[in-house]
Order: sequence, then structure tokens, then C-alpha cells
Amino acid sequence: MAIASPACCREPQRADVLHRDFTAYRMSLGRVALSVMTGGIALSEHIEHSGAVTTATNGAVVSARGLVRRYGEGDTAVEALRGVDLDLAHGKFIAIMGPSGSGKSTLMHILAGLDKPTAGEVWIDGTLITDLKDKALTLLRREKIGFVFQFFNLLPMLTAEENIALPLSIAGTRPEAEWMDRLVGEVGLKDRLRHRPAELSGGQQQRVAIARALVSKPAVIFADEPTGNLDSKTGGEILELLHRSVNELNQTIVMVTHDPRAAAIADELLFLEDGLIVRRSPHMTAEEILDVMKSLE
Amino acid sequence: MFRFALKALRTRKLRSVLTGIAILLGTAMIAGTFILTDQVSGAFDDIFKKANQGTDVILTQKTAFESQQQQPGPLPQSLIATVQKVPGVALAEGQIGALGALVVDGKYVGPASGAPPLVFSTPSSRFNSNTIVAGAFPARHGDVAIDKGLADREKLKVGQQVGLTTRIGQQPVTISGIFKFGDANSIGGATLTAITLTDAQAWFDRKGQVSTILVAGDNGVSPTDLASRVQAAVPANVLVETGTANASRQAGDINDNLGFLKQFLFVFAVIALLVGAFIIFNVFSITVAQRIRELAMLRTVGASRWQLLRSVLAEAFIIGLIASIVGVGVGVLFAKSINLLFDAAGFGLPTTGIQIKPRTVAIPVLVGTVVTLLAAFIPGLRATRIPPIAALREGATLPRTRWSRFSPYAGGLIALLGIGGIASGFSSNGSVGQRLGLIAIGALAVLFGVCMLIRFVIRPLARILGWPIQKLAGNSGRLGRENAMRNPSRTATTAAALMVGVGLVVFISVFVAGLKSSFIDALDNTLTSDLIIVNEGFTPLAAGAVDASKSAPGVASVLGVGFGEVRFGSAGTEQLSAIDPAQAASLVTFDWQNGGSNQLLAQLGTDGAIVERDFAKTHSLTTGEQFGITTLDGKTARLRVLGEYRDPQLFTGFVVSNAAYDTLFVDRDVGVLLVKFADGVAVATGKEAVATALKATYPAAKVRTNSEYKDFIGKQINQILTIFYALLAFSIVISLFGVLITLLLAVYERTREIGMLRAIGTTRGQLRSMIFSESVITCAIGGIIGIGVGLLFGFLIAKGLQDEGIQFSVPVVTIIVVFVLAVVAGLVAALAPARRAAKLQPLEALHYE
Repeated sequence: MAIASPACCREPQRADVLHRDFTAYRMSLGRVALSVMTGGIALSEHIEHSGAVTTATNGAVVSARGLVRRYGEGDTAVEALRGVDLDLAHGKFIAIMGPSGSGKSTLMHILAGLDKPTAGEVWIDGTLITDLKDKALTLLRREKIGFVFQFFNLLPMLTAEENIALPLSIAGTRPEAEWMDRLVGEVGLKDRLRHRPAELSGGQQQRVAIARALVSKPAVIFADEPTGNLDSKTGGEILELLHRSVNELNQTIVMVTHDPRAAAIADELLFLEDGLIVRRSPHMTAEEILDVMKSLE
Repeated sequence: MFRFALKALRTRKLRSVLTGIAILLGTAMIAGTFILTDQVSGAFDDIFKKANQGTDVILTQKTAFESQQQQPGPLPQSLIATVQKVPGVALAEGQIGALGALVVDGKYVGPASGAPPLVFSTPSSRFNSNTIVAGAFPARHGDVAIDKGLADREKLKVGQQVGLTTRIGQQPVTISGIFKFGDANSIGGATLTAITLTDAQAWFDRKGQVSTILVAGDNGVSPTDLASRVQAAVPANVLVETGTANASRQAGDINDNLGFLKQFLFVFAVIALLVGAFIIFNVFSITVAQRIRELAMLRTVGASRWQLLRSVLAEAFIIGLIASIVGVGVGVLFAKSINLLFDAAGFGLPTTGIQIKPRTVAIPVLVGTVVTLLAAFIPGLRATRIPPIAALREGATLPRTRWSRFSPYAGGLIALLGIGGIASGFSSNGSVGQRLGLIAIGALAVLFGVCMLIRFVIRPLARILGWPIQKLAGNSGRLGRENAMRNPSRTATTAAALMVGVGLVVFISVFVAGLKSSFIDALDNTLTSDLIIVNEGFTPLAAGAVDASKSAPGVASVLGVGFGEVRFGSAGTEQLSAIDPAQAASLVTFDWQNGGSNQLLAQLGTDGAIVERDFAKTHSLTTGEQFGITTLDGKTARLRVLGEYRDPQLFTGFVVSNAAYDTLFVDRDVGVLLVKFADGVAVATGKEAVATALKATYPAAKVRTNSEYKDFIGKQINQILTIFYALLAFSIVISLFGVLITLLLAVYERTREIGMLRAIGTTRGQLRSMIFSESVITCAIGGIIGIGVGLLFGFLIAKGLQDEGIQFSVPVVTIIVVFVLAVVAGLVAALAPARRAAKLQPLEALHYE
């Protein structure tokens, strides 16, 4: 049941990517120049993490440099992230793994602009988001980021269709009919559009949530334990759907999970332990992932 | 379980405080009513006690009935000598009391509030309860002493030449002294003017007469003994009382009137409590729904249904008790502000210091606590119906009570019964009290029924009202609308609380507009005069003003109308008006019934009467029949019915000639003076001429053209309306607290949703406008239904009072203003919840349990 995406839809997205990359490149350069002017410390940081320039050119949608997140102060301070650098390429399904307390959720929240790092910088699609004010950050989330949550988080008073269109209605527009049709077909909700969340199964609700994340064609979708609240069969279907959106809709998905079977679908894996990325790897099987996880715990 | 409830309260401080306010204001109104009426009646007790301080026994003329409008007639001065001769009497002295005020530089200087301008003859020092602070009490002809309050207010000095309005016109007087009443500057806004007894007799038409005789006894003679000795020596129509008995009787009469004030204020307190009850109900329903899993968990660990109910009721009990106690404290402020309000509207009342009697605390605390408990009972019952399994379910919904499916039918039935109650209240033949009771209960039932039904119109109404809001606020407006619709019962209760206040405002405005327009129509239809002259401060006009205005150039005819109150048969009092038959036809258009005509006026004589249709109907009188009346002084007369007219507004009761009036009453003062100009005289010119003619002698006479008079009446009515509105504002404020707290709870409840919305790109501004939209829709629903209910009540009462000439009209301006205010109120109430929602951090909100 593979759905081929027509070339007509793929090409503009490629052009988009190029445009985005170019912008990101310019902005990163500007950033470095600014750092040079503002002083040696900033400069040395950027020399150290000179990847900022390269990632911009190699197609990273999400980049982070020197992320530190500290909770509390003084002796009781806890560091959830202790210096994370990463570049996540466009069009990939990336899984962030790690035992509980490893900082993986904190990392995702900071990458998605929901939380601020104590130190470090995050770029989304070429925009430095760690300095943005609430309003600008909100608008950026609206345009460039999609979310899929563990508990679906749909609005109970809206129908499935209205829930899907929500990010666009917030922006004051509505989805093109053709795109909506295709999206609804992809997630398999054609005959459920008039239903409200309470009338849908958990799997169906998560499909609505995925369609909602996809509807605005964001630069990246963050999924926080998207199968955590579903049985394994439904969970599998949801993972397959997410994977299809990466392959056929050319999306980028960053998924946080502690479930090796879920992570096994990813193109790339990041393992976190004690607030640091301890391992990066291309696709792995569930068994391999389990072994890595065991070694971490 | 009680400890559990206390803990629950502490962890939800803000909610508890806001809930408390809902009940606090209602109890404050009850307590405040007690405090204020106690203060006022205490003040009158003091005044009369002080006034009678040196008086052991007091003689007045007996009255045939109790009258609010008239004073007892005079006693002959010769009676003083008789009393003086009674053994044990040390001193007997006559005193005159009348109405009159100073005229300073041609300007009438009356009381600031609605209190009377009192004039009295100066008694000898033994009976005088006033203390002089400057100059001396009047000793010579033309001397006056005035109270310090008036002297301070008008900056009057001893020796100053001023005028005094009297029954024979303005008299030139000199201020000889300034005094205090006991240690008070004045008595509750009244002006006090002391003159000599001789002047008083001459100026107020009391030659050889006095109003009261004050008696002081010899040492060792008790006032009671003295009173019975005096009683034996005087004719039977003289009332002999001890000074204390007289003081408490007069204070008692005033307190009877205050009883009305008390009931009036209590009505508004009950309304406020009702509105508060709605809010308590809503808050507890929401809390129970939010705590479903917690309560279910308690059930799984073995808590019984009764224990759950008890924990909810315990929470209600604590909130109700604390709020009511605080409410009593706030009641002091309420008493103060109501007094200020009355003052501002021209009904100032004297007050003493605040005394809190036990019942002032006990009743509000009891009522407030019980109302809170009752309001929390149904939510408590619903808590008991939560199955233990709900502890394990995400997003379990609260089960409804067993009877809830009957509620639409019950609501409809109650509303219909209420309408029936109102209708039968109008048509029944019971006493006024019974009928008013039926109407009030009916109205309450309609309100209740409508409240139960609102739930079913929330969705369609929100859809309609949401449309313009969605146009205005876009997607946020739509989400606000959906939020208002998602829990119709909750929105319904919130809206119902507002509906009550709005409904009553609209009802009162319909009713008062009807009163006003029917009164003004009556003026237009009945009077053909060009001027309507009344005295300042509603005091009677001296009869001499009739001839004075007749002498003004350009005046064709003048009619002075006298008013009186008489007892009809053996019970009940009726109004009568006295006219000059020769002038009446050109100034008054009687709506004659049964073929009567103006020719009947000429036949009035001294024993004829023309009667108003309602009067004839009530007493089953037909033309040619006779009826008996008794005046306040006990004079009786039989009058013959000459014909019937219809006039439910101005000449109610019956009309007699001045000649008949003079045989019945001591003084023929003029209540209203009507003036008609000769053809071709411009109104402005004529008015000027009449004003000039009256000014020197009758400076208190206020000359107004018909349209000026109508404006004046309109303003008076509006002042009364202001009091009603101000009292209803309390209920509306309470209902706004309801909107606020419901929204605040909703924001807590939807924290995760708000987190999601923020995560996917909703700005703070959009969130705020979402909350504002929800609030505006809720308030607009309350407003619209309130307007509907108000119009319904207004319509019913207008239909019921059709015979009194009350018309029903839709007050378009008021309705628009009320609706706009409801919307604005919605915005105000949403301020805090919207800020709260906007402040939520998306991440924390997403992880909120």
C-alpha cells in the first residue's frame, strides 16, 4: 500500500530546502561574525563548534551547539543537559533514545522551542531560536514545527477535521482542499472526519494528531513518545505512518522514545546518557538498540 | 473527612476565596440592612426621647386613624389653664409645630435631603431640648433661632435679616440665635426654626390654639399618675400620654415605615443570595468534576458514598461559614453606602452609631451557611455517584444524578406555574399582601424554571452569538465559542446568575417607564393648564398663593387643588381632592363615565362628590348613593355621589368642592396650583409674570410649565430607579465573580489543551481573545435571556395593572445599554482568567496533571 508521491509535489520542496539552507548559511555566517566582534569567549566557542557553518551547508534542519540545561541553583542544581551539539538532517526520521533521566525529553523540549537552555544555541531551519522572544518563537513554532504528543492532546469540542486544520486556523488560513484530501487519505481518516475525539479510538486520535502536525508542512515534527499510550499493534501502525510521512511527504521527524521497537524504525539514532550524546548511529534493529540501552543502564 | 475538606480548601485558596465572595456579598446585604435600619430607628428613638426629655405628660388631639400625610388638629389654648389646675402639675405650656423654611436673599433655603423643614414655637427652658450656641432663643416678634447645621451650611450669622415661609406668606425675621439639638447640629437633615408662640399662632393660622400641650409634674408625682389625672380633667378627644410613651409611639410610627425599607432591602439581599447560590453550585460542580479521579480513588480505598458527600458538604460549610462571618463585617460598609445612596437620591435618613445586635450576626451567618450547603448538595450527590473504576480511566465524566433527565420537564413546568402564579396574583381578590406574595413567588418560579431550561438553548444561542465574534476574533473567537458550548450546563449556570440581575433591571425599567409614561399621559390628557406650581420639598403651598397668581397679568384662570386623607366607612383610608368648581372646568378635563359632564361640578356644593371609577367599584357605589367618611380629627360627613370619572393617576379617590373641604379640615393648603393663561399670552411671558407675582410672598412656590413639570417628575422617578439599579448592581457584581471563577477553573481544567495550543503556535494574544470570546458569549447569553425574562415580567405586570393606566412599552435604549454592559462585563470578568491562561508556559502546561 505504498503511496507514491507525485514528482510535482516533491520538486518544490527540494527548492524550498535549498532556499532554507542558503538562508541558514547566511545567518550562521552573520552569527560567527557577530561573535567575533563581541569577544574572544564567544569566538572560541564557535571555533570549537565550527560545525555550525558546515551543518548549515549540509542540510541540517535542526542544529544545536553547547546545550546546557540546569535546574535549580547552587548545591542542589541538577544538570539535565551538559553540553549537547547536534545537527539533524532534513528528510530523516531521527530517534532520540536514552534511559529515563538521561535528558532526552529536556533536549526535545529545547530543540522544539518549548523550553530555554541555560546555555547554548538552537537553530531551526536556519533561524536561531534560543534568542527569540515569546511572540516570535510562537510564530516560528506555528510555521516550522509540528508536534505529536503521547496523550494526543486534541481539542475535545472540535471534529477530527477541525483538529487537523487547527494550526492553519490559528494562522488565519485553511488547508487547500487537495492537500487536506491527500493528508486525510495518508492517515486513513476519510470516514472519521466529522467525529469528535471522544468518538475515536486511541490510534485514530493519534492519526488525527499526526495529520495536525503535517498539515502546515513544517520543517520538522517533534514526536514525544507517540506510541507510549497505545497498544503494540496500534503503536506499530502509527510508527509506520510516521515513517511514511518521512519517506513520501519528505518530512523530518524527531522522536523521543524509550521503546527500542519504536526506535528501530528510525533512520538515525542518538543515545543520551547523563545529559550528553554518547552515541550516534544510523538505522539499528530493535535487538541492537536493546543491547546499546542495556550497556547504558 | 472534615480534615480532608480543610486541606482541600487550603490547596485551592484562590478558588475558595472567590467562591466565598459569591456568598459574602449576599450576607453583607442582609447584615447591612439590619445595621442600617437599626441605626435609623435608633436615631429616631433618640430624637423623640431627647425632644420629650423635660416633658412628663404631653397632650395632643386624638386621631381617627394613622396618617402618614397629616398632623393631628390643634387644641384650644384655653385647655392649658384647665391642665394647669390639675393637682400635681407644675407647669403646662402650649406649643405649635408647623412647616416652614428660611428665605435668604430671596432664595428658599430648605433641608438638603427629603427631611421636613420644621418650625416650632420656643418652649420655656424646662421643656426645651435645644441648647443655644450663639445669641438667644426668640423673645420678640420677628425673632428666629435656627439649628447649627443650617447655620453652618448657609453661613448664617446672628443678627442677619432673612425671611420665613409661613401659611400667610413670607415674613421678615431676624436671626436671634443658633442652637444645637441636644449635642447634635441637626436632626437627620431636617431644618429647625424656633419662633415665639405669638408669631407661630399668627403666622400659621392658630389664633387661640396650640398643637400640643406640654406638662411638667411636681416632684414626687410619677408621669403615669400625672397623665391619668390630666386625662380626667380634659375632653375625651384629647390624647394624654407620658413623655416617654409619646416618644416611643412616634418612633414606633417611623419604625413601621422603616419596616418597608427593611423588606425592600431584604428583597435585594435575597436576590443576591440566589445569584450567589448559582455560583456555589457551579463551582462545586466543576470541582467535583475535576476531582473525579481523586474521589474515585477514595472510593476504591473504601470511602463510602456518605463520606464523599460529607467531604463536599464540609467544604461548603467552611466556605459558607467564613464568608458569612466576613459578610457581616462587610455589611457595615453596605449600610454606609446605602445610606449615602439614599442621601444622594434625596431620601437622607438620620443615623446613630453602629450597634450590632445578636440577630444582625446570627441571621446572615445562618442564612449564608445554609444557602451554601444547599447549593453544594447536588454536586455532592453527584460525587457519590462516581464509580470507583473512574480512578483508572483517563477523562472520566461526572455522572448526572438520577433525576436529571426530568429536569427539562420540571423546568418548563415550574416556569409555567410561575407565570400562572403571577397571573393569578393580579386577578385574585385577596389582600394586597397576598397578591404581591403570589406575584413574587410566581416570578421566583419563572426565574428558577428558566434557569433549568437555559442549558438547552446554550448551543443554538452560542452559535448565533459566536458568529459576529468569530468574524471579529477569527479562530480564537471560534475556539471561545466551542468552549462556551462544550459544557452547556456550566455555561447555563454561569449565564443564569447574570440573567437574574439583568432580568430584574430590565423588568424594573419596563415597569417604571410604564409608570412614568402613564403619569405623563395623565398629565397631558387631564390638565389643560399652562403652569403647574408646587412648593419646594413637597410641603403644602399657602392658600393665598391662589389669589396671588390670579393677580398676575395674562392669567385667565387658577385652580388650587387641596389633598386630604379620610377614612372610608369603618376601615381603610381614601384620597380626596378639593377644587374650586367654578375654575375646574377650564383647567381639568374629567373623563366622565356613564354620561356625566362638567355640569356636575357646579352641583358639588358642600355634600356632593364626584368619584373615580375604581373608588366606585371598590366600594360598590352608584350615582345618587351616599357614603360616610371620617377625617383624621374625627369629623364625620356623608357625601352624595353625583357622577363618575376615570383617572387612575391624578385625581384618585374622589373630588369635593373647596366649600366641603373647609367644613372638614382645619387648614386648606394647596397641594398643586394650576394656572391657565388668557389666549395669546406666550408661555414664557406668562410664567415670568406668575413667578414675579409669587416670589415676594411665596418664595417656596416653584413655577414650572407643564413640560418642565413633566421633566421634574421624570427626574424624581429616575432617582428612584437609580436606587433600584444600584441595589441590583450587587447581584450583577456577584454574577460577574461567577463568570470570573468559572473561567478561571476552566483555564486550570484545560491547562494541557492550552499547552498544546501554545506549542503548535497559538500566541498569547490569541489565547486571551479565546478566553474573552468565551466570556463575552456567556455573558451575552445571560444578557439576552435576562432581557427576555425582564420583558416578560414587564409585560405581565403591565397587563395586570392595565386598569391603573400602566402601559407596556419596550425600553429599547435600556435594552441596548444593558446588553452592551453585559458584554463589557464579560470582558472585565475575563481579564484575570485571560491573563492566567496567557501566562502559562507551554511546556509546564503540557505536563500538567
